[in-house]
Amino acid sequence: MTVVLVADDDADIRDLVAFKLEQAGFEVIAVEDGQSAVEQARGRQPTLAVLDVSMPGLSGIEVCRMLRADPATAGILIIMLTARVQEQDVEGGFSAGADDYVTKPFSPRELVSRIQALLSRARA
Amino acid sequence: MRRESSVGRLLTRAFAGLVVLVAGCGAVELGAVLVEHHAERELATEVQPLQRANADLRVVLTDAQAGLRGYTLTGDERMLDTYDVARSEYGLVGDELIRLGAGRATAAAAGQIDRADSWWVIADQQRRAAPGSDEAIAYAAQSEPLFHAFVAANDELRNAADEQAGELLDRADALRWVTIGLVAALSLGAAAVAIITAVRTRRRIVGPLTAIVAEAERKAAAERGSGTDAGPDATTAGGFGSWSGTGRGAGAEPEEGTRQGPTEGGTAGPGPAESGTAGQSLAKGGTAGQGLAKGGTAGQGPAESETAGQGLAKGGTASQGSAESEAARQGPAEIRAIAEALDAAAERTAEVRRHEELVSARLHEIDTVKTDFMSTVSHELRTPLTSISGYVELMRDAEPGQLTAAQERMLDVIARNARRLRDLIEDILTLSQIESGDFRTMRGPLDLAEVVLRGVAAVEPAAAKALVGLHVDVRGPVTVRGDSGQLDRVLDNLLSNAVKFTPAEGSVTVSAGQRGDQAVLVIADTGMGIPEPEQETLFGRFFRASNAIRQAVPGTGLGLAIVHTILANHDGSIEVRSTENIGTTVTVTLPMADLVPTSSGPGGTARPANADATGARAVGSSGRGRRWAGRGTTRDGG
Repeated sequence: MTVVLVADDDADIRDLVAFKLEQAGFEVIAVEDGQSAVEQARGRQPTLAVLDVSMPGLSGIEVCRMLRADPATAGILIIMLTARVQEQDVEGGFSAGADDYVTKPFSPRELVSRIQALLSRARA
Repeated sequence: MRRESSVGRLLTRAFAGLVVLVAGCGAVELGAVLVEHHAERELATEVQPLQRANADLRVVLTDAQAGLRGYTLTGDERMLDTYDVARSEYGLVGDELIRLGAGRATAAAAGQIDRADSWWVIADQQRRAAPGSDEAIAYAAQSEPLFHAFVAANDELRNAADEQAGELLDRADALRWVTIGLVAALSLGAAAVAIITAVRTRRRIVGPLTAIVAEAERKAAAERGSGTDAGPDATTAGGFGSWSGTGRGAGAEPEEGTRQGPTEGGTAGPGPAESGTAGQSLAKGGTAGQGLAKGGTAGQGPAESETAGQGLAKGGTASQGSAESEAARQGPAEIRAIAEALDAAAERTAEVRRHEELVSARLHEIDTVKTDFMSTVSHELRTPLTSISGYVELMRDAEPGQLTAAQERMLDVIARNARRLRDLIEDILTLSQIESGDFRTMRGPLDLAEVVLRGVAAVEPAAAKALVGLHVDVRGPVTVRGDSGQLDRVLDNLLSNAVKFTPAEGSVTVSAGQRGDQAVLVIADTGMGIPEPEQETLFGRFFRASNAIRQAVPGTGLGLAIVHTILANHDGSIEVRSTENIGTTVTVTLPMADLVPTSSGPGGTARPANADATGARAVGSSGRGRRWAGRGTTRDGG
């Protein structure tokens, strides 16, 4: 089963994403801050990570950068969740190494299809 | 110069000297004239009459003697007549001589009269004696020396009178020369005083005045320099600063930079202008290139060395000890006063500018805070909104189990309103950012035709879904200066409005091209239109047409306000003509950029008229266009 790491400090959104992903057949690791995200990514080696940009402590962009810097986690696919729609935020996310981004408020359905698209692209 | 020196005093002294010299001249001249007049009078009224009387007396006696001698020799009685006439005249002439000789030649006149008298005594006896007799001859011999004595006395008096006349004339002559000399000397003195006064006045008035004028000009130049150079640059820097500050997501650093910028500028105000401006721009420099360029300009500024302290007298003390004050201190009081007034005026100007800078920095700060606040608020609002719409979606997707029809209707309402809330947040944030003017610095040349085609491509799925025909007639390229993101937004708002308010089987026609030096975009629909009385308030915030509300067409009422603000920022304009239930035509004009190609004929790159939506798709839609288009916008009228 594909393992997906979900990091968001907002519990409702975290549960929403986790629930939707589990419904879609993924195994979900849900964490509430950047530090745990990095730890879980190293420990559990998920295939994909959904990272909220603005989290207390380590931000999603910093987590992304750290995962990319570590050879053990560099291969993880990363989707950023951002509440800001400015071009700069998106560019910042991509320059940190994200594979895709979804802006809040987002449709859970859309998120799942983005994840699936990313996974099939990665497999190809 | 000395403390009491003043233009007035200087001129008073100079003119007083001149007046004294001229008056002296006049007095000397007058004195000379008076003395000469006196001498002439003396000559005419005393000396010359005395000379005449003396001569008359001599004539009388000579006549008498000649007549007497002739009678004595010839016995001719007629000769006696001459003698007798002279004898009778003698009294008058003698008295005249005594009178005129009084004072000056009393003794000489009296002596002469005495001798004449003694001659007359003998002459009278000789007359009485028979002519040619011995007695007569004896008398004649006796009178001879007496006559000679008279003649000698007469000569003596004549000589004395002549001498006196000569003396008088000599004196007058000498006096004339003295007068001429004195007048010449005084005139030369006056001329010298006038020249010295002119030179000194010039040196002490014109010199300092010239210095002041030069200083004022230099100051004006410096003011102009600081006004034109620093002003716009500072604004630009500010614009960049706030853009980078509010823009970047991870932007803790830039944001801090922006906040510090104005504050630092504020404290730097009282110091030299350059450091203030440079510090400000550097502090704001989220974009390093901009900041450094500004710093460089400020450092090398022409005002720096000489005029800096004075011309840009930002500091209260800076105006003292300057070149101007030096010049002023050397001048008379009035000039010092002018210099001080100029100094004070410059200081006031500097103060006003300082104040303006502070106010502008403060405004900028407030603006930044506002934009930051809006950004934060919209972020904070979006997070709970994500949960609401996300869970609603899960329920509507029947993830937790089947819903009843009533439950589904209720969830539809929640979903619709969550979406409406999301649109509102987006529009408010956009409007706030546009109004802060931050976008203005992002303008560059771009082809309006591409923007239009991008917008058409973005709205095309919605149009297809609503069964609204989309006709495009774009004749490009139409180069304008603008921010492509913002113009995308304009197109998105206007096109989605047109599609949203047009019923099925209706059509939306988009045309763009060049008209004179204007780029013109026309979007015409066959929609519901805007009621006539509501058309005036079309561009106000939260405006929604009454017919749109009645028909429950969704919208925030901010779409046209955003369009209007963006176009205003681009020096463009928008005009809306609408008839209810017939349709609406929106005309947008934008100034062409300078680098416009000469003409864009119907051939060239122009798209064929009435190209259908499929044609528009071929141009493709960028990710950006999609992103903007993904956000629903409001149509505030038909």
